[in-house]
Amino acid sequence: MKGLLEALGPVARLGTDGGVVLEPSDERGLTDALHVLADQGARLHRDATLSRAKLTDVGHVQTKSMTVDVGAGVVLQHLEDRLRTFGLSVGPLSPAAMHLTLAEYLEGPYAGLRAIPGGRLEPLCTKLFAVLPDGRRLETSDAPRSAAGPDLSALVLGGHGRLGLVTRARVRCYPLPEADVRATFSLPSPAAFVTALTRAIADGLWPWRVHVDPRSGRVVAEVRWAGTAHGVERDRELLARCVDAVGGRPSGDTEREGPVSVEHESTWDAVRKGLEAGHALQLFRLSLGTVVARGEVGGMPLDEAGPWTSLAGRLLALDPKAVLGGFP
Amino acid sequence: MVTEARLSGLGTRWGAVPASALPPPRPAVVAARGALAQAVAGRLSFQDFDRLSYARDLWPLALLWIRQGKVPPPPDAIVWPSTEAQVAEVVKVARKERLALIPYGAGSGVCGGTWAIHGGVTLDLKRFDTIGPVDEAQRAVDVGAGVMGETLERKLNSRGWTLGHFPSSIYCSSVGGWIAARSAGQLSSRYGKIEDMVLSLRAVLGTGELLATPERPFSGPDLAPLLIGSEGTLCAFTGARLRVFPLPEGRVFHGFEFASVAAGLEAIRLIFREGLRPAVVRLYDPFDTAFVGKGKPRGHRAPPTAPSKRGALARSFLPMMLRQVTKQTLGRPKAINKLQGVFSKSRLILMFEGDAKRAEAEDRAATSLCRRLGADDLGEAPGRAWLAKRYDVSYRMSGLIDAGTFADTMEIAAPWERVQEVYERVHAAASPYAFVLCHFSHAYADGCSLYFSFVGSGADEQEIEQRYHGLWRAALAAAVTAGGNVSHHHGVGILKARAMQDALGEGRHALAALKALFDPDGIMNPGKLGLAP
Repeated sequence: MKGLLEALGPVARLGTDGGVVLEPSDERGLTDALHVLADQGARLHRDATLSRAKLTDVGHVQTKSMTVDVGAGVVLQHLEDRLRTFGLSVGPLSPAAMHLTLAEYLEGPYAGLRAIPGGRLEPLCTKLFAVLPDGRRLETSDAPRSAAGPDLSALVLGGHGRLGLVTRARVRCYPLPEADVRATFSLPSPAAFVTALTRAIADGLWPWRVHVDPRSGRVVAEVRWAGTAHGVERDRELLARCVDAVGGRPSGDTEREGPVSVEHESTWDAVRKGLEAGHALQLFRLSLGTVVARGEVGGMPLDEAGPWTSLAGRLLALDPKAVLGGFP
Repeated sequence: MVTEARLSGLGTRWGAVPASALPPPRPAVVAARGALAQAVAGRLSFQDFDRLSYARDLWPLALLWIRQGKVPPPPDAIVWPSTEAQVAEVVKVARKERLALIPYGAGSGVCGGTWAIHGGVTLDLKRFDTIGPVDEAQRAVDVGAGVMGETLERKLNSRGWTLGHFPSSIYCSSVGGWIAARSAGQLSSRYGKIEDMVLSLRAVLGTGELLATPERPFSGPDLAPLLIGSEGTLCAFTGARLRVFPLPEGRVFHGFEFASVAAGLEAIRLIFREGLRPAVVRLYDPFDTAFVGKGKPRGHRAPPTAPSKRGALARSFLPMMLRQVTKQTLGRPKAINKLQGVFSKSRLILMFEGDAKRAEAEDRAATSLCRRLGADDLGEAPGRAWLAKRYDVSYRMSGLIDAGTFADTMEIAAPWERVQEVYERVHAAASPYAFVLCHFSHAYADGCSLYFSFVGSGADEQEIEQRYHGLWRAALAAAVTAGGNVSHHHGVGILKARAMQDALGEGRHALAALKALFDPDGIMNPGKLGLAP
């Protein structure tokens, strides 16, 4: 332990538990540290842990493309607070996600994904700066989309830091909403709720949160969304049409506290089943494929790294010395 | 043995390709004939006609070569598997015998991605042609990699659904090809690129293993983005589960004319910032605006009549004259490009679709925004005219080649801060080599795609080819230097391989490591994406 600490030099310190903590202040520091780990036959997670607490720079906000370079150690809620001064927002993420650092959000179970208008999932960042197990740098394109070969950011997103470590990312932002509205509806069944909401999402509704509660054979859903003053009214009309089409109606119910639990990534099928079983749910990051859900619902827990598929595990061969820790 | 093979569709224009232009199949491939035949139940060919047909995709360089009587490097053989087990067996044979394998969709690529630069066996996947039932609850459909785009869309439409993917190659491209090259359709601003539509993939790796990527949610890294866009260098796609959408209930078109490209770009940026989601966004630069005409929808076509002298004139004399004029004019592109200063107006076409009232509401919001920026309202005619002719442009290229010129397109993307500069720098860099047009489409909140069209010529075939290569070097370098990327939706192939590797920087080692992992013997489409064979 002492030998490793000395070899790592000023980039490392002893943690409160007596273990070695790598705490680089820049990408170069992390690269050098990984070389030392490799030379010493040491591994992250086993022989040392990584802190990105010093990687907290927030760069110049690009107001036209609404992007900003953010250090991997920045907590998303802090970023949100900072962006507000520029009239921007990170957009609708789940409550638990806002407490994570950028690195935790990108590399962890959330895989850096968020829902965008139209119901697709896309990475929070348009460009990644990362260090690979061999100490080489990965810097992806900042163009909005590319067809120049495979998307190598997939080595980092959701990779639990085992295939690459993000140091910085160019985060996509949204205009700070002018208006924040909510509406409550009563729908005839969980299936009707799912049909109405997915249709509205496909046509452009971008819900920030949905609280849905099965009651007396019906489902009461409180939908919250935000946007421009005109935009929220367009969304209100769309949502009303989609609800009406499945036999739903506006409800006068007032806001209630939703269930608070570990967040899960869940399919709409799991949401429907949860509601049919009588469980109230809170939904965030609503896409056409999956949502982030709170309450008793099936899906993948997002509070800790789960096991990888065997195929994804094959990618660990890209780190032959297991410098980044090997199989999670 | 075919003594003289004619190129399908082109042979009548440019004559025959002599048999001597085609090298004989490599002995190693000939020796593996029995094993390959067994692997695909006899569905293979060593015929020169087939080898010639599969020697090229739609990379315009091939058209220049063919005009000169040169043939792009042909594969030694072609196989047509119909099951994943057969594909795996072909991979097994190729690994054992060290044969190159080139996965092949429909051959519509424009970057040389399916050229058999190391010979080997072309793996045509068109027999993976199944289209499953639409899973209405999940809004998904399982599709074979060999299904052609138009076939899929028609089938989905008949069931009340759409994929929302309309590349201009839709009649001659396949699902597997779209995924291999990260294709984008004309309505991508609403429905996304193909990678947005893929829920899961089926593929056979270069190891011979069958791979099926999981649908969300799952833990760990997502393999699909590492395979999408790999252009056959890591795997052969056999099928995919794709997101589908109900057919749109309503559709609204609107055209505007802005005082400048900059004003038009600002309108697009603000439309997306506002949260509006047009399905189609196309801003034409001033020259392209002049070329797209005044937006009259295509009228009713008169039925064909008996041959006339006037018709004969139109078919023979006029094209000959056009060939001469075009060649002479395009031989001096810089002078023509300078004329662009005369034009300034820039035309924008928008189309909204989906929920009818929503589409109308978004159109009203976009109209208000465009008017605030000083745009002239052209009504719906330009949009309808574009829709009627939206696939035509791809089929005009062979006519330009026929006129003794070269023609090509370059699609790149950039963040909003850099779009204008990328446009100006690429335009300036390409101007000495070709006549340059550009439109901006495939828009996002953080940037958009720039689609350049180039037409050039030269004193002879040698000069034309030199100019063609010079054009690409200059245009790509200018794009990257100004902050654009290498490709938005055409892929890389051979054409952009060096530029892609340069743009990857140290990340190219990660790509090479992936190649070694999924294709340890380097048999999968060797030499593409700049990956060493």
